[in-house]
Amino acid sequence: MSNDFERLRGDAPLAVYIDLKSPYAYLAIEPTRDMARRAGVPIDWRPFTLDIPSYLGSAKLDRSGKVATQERSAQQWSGVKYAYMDARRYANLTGKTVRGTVKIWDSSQAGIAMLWAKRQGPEALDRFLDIAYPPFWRRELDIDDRGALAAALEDAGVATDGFAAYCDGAGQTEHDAINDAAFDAGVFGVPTYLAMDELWFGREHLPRIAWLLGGRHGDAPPVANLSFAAGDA
Amino acid sequence: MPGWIDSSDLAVFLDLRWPQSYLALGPTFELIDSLGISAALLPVTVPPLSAPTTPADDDDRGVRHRRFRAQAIAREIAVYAEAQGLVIREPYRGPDPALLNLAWLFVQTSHPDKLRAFLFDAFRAYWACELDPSDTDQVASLVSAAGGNAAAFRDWSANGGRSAAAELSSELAQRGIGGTPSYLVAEEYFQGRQHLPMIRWIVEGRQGRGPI
Repeated sequence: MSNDFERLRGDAPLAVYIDLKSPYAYLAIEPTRDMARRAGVPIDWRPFTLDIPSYLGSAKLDRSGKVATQERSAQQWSGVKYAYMDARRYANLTGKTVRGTVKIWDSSQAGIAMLWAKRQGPEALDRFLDIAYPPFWRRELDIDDRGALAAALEDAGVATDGFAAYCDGAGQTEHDAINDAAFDAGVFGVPTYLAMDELWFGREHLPRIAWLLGGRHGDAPPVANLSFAAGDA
Repeated sequence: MPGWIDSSDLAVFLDLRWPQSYLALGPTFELIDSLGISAALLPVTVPPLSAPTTPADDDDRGVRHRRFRAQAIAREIAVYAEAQGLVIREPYRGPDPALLNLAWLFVQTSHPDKLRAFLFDAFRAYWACELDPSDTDQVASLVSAAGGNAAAFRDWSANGGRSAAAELSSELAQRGIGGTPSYLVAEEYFQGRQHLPMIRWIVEGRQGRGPI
């Protein structure tokens, strides 16, 4: 494994890159928290704003849900449709709603809102994630609207004095630096996990992350979508 | 008459040329055994795995993204293969698997109890770079080693085998099966071995909290 990953991780025992516009990141929040709680380590959540058109083509739906404009191949569409179907069936297990998006969002403002909440402590960021993710995936939160993001922060108990200026200044700079450093080190999707000197993409690697954080005792586990909630195996 | 896909409780689709299929083979049979269900393991042909590209000065973000993804997949294959004690050499080969797939269907049809041995032998030999899946003698030897009738396979592959393979291809296309390893259970389609806990949960009647 490359030391680039360890350097990117820094002092945090577990760093996790997420993006509000990824259904897979949404699904990963709960099992990741449960796994980290079991391992007894804090989570350093970091925003990573996916540039979806650069690797999956672009598309926009009209109000009826039909494709209005698109630059995707049949193979890319097939992959996108499977991904949403797959995310939806896992979301249903925990009562989450994952509706198909009508466009590819620029979630950088949401990433900056994450950083703003994080400045006020990890609990503040946890509350913001819990406040923002569900309505976004019900199509009830417009993450292009800074005012809506500020309202979500306030609902999460995060003070917003100075948030607008932060978005236009230090927040944008910090967001871009985090994203550039992550991408240059090899982060390409979310959720991405950094633990020890390893990088893993996808919550199916949580068993391995837990194994790494637990000191590599016993046999290395296989990939698996699992619950790490108390009482579950 | 049921087709290839709907004849069992669980259908499993594997491409010999995908390391992830080899990584799924053992855990999939463990699941089948522990659940005591019938399963149809079938060959599917998808484009071979893409190797990471070499960096160039004019790489755009999309090119770099695909390289990073390919590198991550390569690391994943290496790490999980080591954990299972599997040898995987030259993961980006893309030979024609048609003849090997014919042998697979032949064993499935004529000696279904030998299929497990045949698949483990074929995947091990292929990933050790000891098997050319387009070589008739080598493939016939695999059939024989698994307890099948090599002469009957040669005859079948030259006659009825091709139409059987075409029937399977048609079924796969109609059902939209295009991934490996992938699974079809209770009309639900899954791509990737990470779903094995979910498949277990479905087969066991969706009792309690599902794997998330």
